[in-house]
Amino acid sequence: MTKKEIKELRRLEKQEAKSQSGGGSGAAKWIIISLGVLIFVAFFGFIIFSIKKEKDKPIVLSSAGYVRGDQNAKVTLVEFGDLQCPACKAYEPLVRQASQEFNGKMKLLYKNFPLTTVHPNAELAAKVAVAAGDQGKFWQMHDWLYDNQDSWADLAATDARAKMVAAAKALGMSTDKLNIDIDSSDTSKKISQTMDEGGVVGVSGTPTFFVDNVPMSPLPSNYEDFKKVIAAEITAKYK
Amino acid sequence: MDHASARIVVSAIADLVLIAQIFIVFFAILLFLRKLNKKNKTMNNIVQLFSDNALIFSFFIALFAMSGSLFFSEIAHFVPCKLCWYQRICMYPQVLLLGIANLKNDWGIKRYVLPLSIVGIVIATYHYILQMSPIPLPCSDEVANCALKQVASFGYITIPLMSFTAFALIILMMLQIKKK
Repeated sequence: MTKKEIKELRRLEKQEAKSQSGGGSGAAKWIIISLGVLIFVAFFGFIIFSIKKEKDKPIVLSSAGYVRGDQNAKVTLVEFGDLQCPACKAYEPLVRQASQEFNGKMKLLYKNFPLTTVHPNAELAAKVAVAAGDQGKFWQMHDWLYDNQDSWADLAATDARAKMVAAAKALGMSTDKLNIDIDSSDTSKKISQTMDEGGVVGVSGTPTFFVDNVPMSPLPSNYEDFKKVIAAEITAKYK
Repeated sequence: MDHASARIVVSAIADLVLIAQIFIVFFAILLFLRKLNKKNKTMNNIVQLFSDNALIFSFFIALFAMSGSLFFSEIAHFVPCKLCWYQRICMYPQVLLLGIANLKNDWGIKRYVLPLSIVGIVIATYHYILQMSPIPLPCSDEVANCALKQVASFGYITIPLMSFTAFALIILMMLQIKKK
């Protein structure tokens, strides 16, 4: 084919395409394109805008959870914790030491945040702790679960449960009531409440700490740094 | 990023998908009614409008689908599973294919877009059944669990169903071209 012939062919193709597109729809076409672009920009712009707005909102944590220490303490250390999470266990001594050191000025508010996808027994542990809470022994159970995490973490659910219930019995709880409470919808509701709250305020892993609604980030790696954050807030509140 | 932004992304896109599904149903009814009464001018005009501009509509559908899926993975931080990736492979090229086809007024693009969309819709269907059926269908992925329903707006709109809706819309648009 010569160049001229190719050119001619292209011209014919173009013409054909034009006639196929249905001539009179020129205006409609542009209206649709502009509407499409407009909706596209508005839609994804709206999403980005909403996210920005949501992020700028100051965090206000609820009082849901379990308090350890003086109720009237002005500073609250909030922990979103997973009872099966090794990192939470590792932070447990720091939390306990801080609770002791700042006794009366700081209270700990523990919120269950079981990472159910990675820790198969985490939800069960949270349920047992909450059920123990119904008998006024949340903290005894909480401490036992962290202290003995290795002994139940890798067990099958039924074995882990038997072990926890036995421990609860040793701590002086009624096992009948405990078993009922573990399976009650009220218990699940309490856990999902703090899980949802954690999700809303951006908790993605455990432990996540907040000191009076301000997230502790990055997570301090030693007690000195951990203490410093709390001490600063205490100085501010007890001026 | 956090759940709050994920929730915003999910609810906005789910609303859009719901609208798209309502549109599909209405359009299907319209096509059916037109078959019964071929002389109705309004119905013919509406179908003609979509037929004439099928390429533009399809382009925007593909663009929304691609952006939506990118928002899911990059902003809401949902990890795409293997099946999601196969659906993405069928959808993302369509943005370019249809975009260029619009510029060149190339209606023959239907021959390329239709097979891509059909493969995509088959994978999306499989993925949705996998999520919804109590018996898990095979899909092994070390990175992300295919059966995990990351979102279920209105109780039934999960991500593969969104993908299904987008492919269905594109197929519907492509089929209108034939009717010229």
